[in-house]
Amino acid sequence: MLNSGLTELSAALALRKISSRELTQGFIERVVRLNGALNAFITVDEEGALAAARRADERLARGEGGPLTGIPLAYKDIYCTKGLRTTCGSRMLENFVSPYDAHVVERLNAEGAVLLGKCNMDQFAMGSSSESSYFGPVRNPWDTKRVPGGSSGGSAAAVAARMVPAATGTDTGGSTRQPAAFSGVCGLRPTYGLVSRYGLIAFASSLDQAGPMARSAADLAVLLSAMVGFDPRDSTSLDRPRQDYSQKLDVELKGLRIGLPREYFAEGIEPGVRKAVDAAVAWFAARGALCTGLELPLTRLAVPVYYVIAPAEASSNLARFDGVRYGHRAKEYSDLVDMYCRTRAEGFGDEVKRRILVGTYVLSHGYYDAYYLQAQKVRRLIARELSAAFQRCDLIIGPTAPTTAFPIGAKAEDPVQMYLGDIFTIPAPLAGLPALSIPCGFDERGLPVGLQMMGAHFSEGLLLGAAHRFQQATDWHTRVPTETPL
Amino acid sequence: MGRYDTLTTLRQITQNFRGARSEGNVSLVHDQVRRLARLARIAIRSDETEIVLERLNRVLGLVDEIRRVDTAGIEPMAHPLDAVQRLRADEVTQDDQRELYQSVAPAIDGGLYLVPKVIE
Amino acid sequence: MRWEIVVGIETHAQLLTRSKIFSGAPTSFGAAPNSQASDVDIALPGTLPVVNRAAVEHAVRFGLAVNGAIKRRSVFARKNYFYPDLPKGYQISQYELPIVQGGQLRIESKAIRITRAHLEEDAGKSLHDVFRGMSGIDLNRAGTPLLEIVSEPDLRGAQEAVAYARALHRLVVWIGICDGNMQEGSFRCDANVSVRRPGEKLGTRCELKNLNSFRFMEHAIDYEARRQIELLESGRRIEQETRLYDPERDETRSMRSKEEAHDYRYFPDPDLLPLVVDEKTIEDIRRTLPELPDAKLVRYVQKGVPAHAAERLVVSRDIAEFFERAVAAGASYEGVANLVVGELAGLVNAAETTFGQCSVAPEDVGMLQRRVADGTISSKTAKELLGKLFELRQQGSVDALIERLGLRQISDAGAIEKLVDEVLARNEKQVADYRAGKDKAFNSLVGQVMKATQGKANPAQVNELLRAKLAKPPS
Repeated sequence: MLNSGLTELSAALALRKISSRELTQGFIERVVRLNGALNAFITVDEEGALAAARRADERLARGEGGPLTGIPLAYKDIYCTKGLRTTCGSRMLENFVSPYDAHVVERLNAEGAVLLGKCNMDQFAMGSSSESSYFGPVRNPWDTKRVPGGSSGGSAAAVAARMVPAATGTDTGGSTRQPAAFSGVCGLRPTYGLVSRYGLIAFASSLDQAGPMARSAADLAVLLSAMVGFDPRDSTSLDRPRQDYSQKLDVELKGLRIGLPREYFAEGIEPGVRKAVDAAVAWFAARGALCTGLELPLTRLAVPVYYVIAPAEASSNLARFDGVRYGHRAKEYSDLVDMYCRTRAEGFGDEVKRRILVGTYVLSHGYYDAYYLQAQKVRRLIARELSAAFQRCDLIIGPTAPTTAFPIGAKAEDPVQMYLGDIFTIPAPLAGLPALSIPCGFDERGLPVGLQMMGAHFSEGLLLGAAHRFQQATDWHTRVPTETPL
Repeated sequence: MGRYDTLTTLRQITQNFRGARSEGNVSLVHDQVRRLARLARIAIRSDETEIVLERLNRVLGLVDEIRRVDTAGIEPMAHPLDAVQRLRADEVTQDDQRELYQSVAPAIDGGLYLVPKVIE
Repeated sequence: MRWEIVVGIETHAQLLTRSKIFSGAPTSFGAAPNSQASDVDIALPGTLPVVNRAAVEHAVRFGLAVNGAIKRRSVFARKNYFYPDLPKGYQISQYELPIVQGGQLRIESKAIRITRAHLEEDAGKSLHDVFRGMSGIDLNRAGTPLLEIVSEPDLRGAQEAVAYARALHRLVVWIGICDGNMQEGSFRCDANVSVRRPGEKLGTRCELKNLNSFRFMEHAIDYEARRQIELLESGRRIEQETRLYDPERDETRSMRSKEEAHDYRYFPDPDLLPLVVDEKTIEDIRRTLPELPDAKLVRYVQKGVPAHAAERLVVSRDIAEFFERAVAAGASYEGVANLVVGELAGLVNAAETTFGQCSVAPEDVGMLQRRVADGTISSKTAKELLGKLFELRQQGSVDALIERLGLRQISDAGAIEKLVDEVLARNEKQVADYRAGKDKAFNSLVGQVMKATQGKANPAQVNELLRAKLAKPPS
């Protein structure tokens, strides 16, 4: 059961072949067994999970419930969960118990999903390795000396190690897709506005999106269908009819126009990554997809633009953590300003502080036009370039990241080298586009490689369908990590 | 290095950028870091300043790339979607939850949040 | 050489809404601390703002009332600074693109230009020294909708500044967007004051805060102008700064002299989208906008109301509406105006009430005036009756009351003539005096006729008859 997909599990639950309680118990046991090695969870809510499982079983017994009723799920610890600690991977919120549920949590609770626990992550979702957590680094189930990617690294590792069938993540610059790629699972970033941000602790508001992480595209579809939907509490939430993404997974590949940006296949990409991605592209071509080369010269500017806009918004979003109403407050201080300064110095990790300082700088008097405003203009140029590309193709395919998972500590000294790893995942959020990452092979070290597919706005159905077709013919996504055998 | 090798290009740019105040590149100095830290209300110990400065300068070296782009006539993009603000009906929808909200507060008394004396 | 005092006023008018500008928490004043601070207002992690429609409509209403441009697209920005009463660490406020641009407000014969009016949220309150060495933070006010209205530096001196502030106050209350309660902070003004020699460019200005009454505003500006003039005349310079008015000592003093330079790092709030106001909304609001005081004033004067009385009728919308309902009951503008700004205003003031809550129905005032006009009662009786109606709190009973109290005026010529004859017969001396050229004697005779009728005789008729009789030689 631990290795089954969501569809199989919900069928088994509906047919009463297994109870949610048994299923939940089974996953909890695996979490308890593996978490010491992986550090994928910050909080495990055994009691709450079993209570939710009991309620789900009652619902199932009445013949009610949907595809997620009774399914154990984990949340990235950036989702506010009522009555349960929500840390955002930070000392600042080490003991913060949210008084309310995020919109996504409300939705999934209403579906009868079982909240198993909260996953580890880069502090305030800032990072690409899940090393910056106050609760210690997450380890990659394929090689525990390596990072699982980030910032949703705990969710990715938990799904990969079969500690939970699926999890939620968030994606600001690639935080669902890159850890999915590094950990050998699937991760989706929806079109901006599709999933409510209410109750997600904000990093960069114009970029943040919640997304599902699971072991197959079909499972992503199940979870995404439950996560989307209009929320009047989020001004950026889109009011459009909800869609069941599981219904149309059998998309036609013949004639599908696939764009291959030359910049995504150039020097600097590891050969193992290149090989696996090329093979995946060849598979699509063999099914009748029309592959065309593209040029996206502004790709070069995506990372610099992102590292202006995201820190700028973050510097303001994180100003509320001042030790007054919740969260950490320094024990010793001389006056009010000192209380603020010490509270924030103690509560935030180095990467968070660095981004706050960068963001403060690019918004400050005399630099705003040169950095922030200029970044917003270049952001529009990048969005236009992508929009033009989607006139010529239906999907853009390439590697999710230029490398596979790197060793823990390898990029700790140089933040910029870490940032550059986001080069392929950043364009989609800048333009508000949906994108996903699925496993497409392994490099020579046996580390998973991720294939990224990017689509036009609201093309989630197409992305999931194309990924699903690929997964029907391949087994990369079914491989169990070597260090966490079943 | 080919024209599509953006990653290599960026790596070289940032590796060459060592915080030197050269050719119009911006680079922060100690005073500025202290001022920024003060604005952002983040205490920085004096023994940290050097490394903070060095790493900030690397980041600024990276983002400096955008300054060279011609963006004349381009409307800034504040938001990924071309949507407009939705308006809420003027209704009271939230009741008093002070007790719950203040259960996570560091210091309260008589329903007030307590802070070190505010000087005006 | 004389100095010119230049003033610009920034006003924060609290908008009359049920809920806050970005959350569904109530806005009522005086609740227990933090009992009206919702998750959004206390900036819980993950919470987001959504704009209140009523606040936007109020801003549009104001823009139309001052003939400003309603911007079809405006943008909410974040003003970033740390302060314990500012829970998010930034204030959401319109910055580069405000909802109202331009406009003007008339004071007497001068038009004061309005630069802009924009929507923003209020901060909470810091209560100092409630606990030893600590301040207490109450966030009930955080997120209350404000319209910040900025005037051009068109005002010359404290009196004009106060006239502007009063006119603005009357307007925002008139159009129903603000309750105007200055004690509760619903209408707060800051003044930018500078001085210059006439014709020179603007001098360095100081911003005065804590002007929470019109009287304080006048005193503060006067004091500040004197201070600046003294500095300049002694060869010193003015520092641009924010100064607090201290009403106890009647002076202004520098707020935070060593304060670090502000850098608010404004940028468009990414949690909010551009605010777009469509034509239909604007037209709907325009249609429901009440007739404004200036327009009413002109109309009243055209209808025969003396200018000084008309001014008093448009002091508030309550009075004007009361007046118009009274007129609508079939009475003349001028006659009703006299009753309203005279007798009734006195009664309302003495009772410390308002025209909106006045115990006399405006229709009854109109009826009283009709009864004066048709000669049923004298205007003196009308005033007395008004007092009676005010006291009795009886409405719709003017005619009944006239009858019951027997106040109907005697206009029957025969009856009056009889009385006049009796009075003349009894007062030979006065008659003789009058005929000898002593005019005073005439008044005494009129008085006696009136007294004999308990004041009910039509005074005009009495006058006329008396004069006619006295003009004839004694029979």
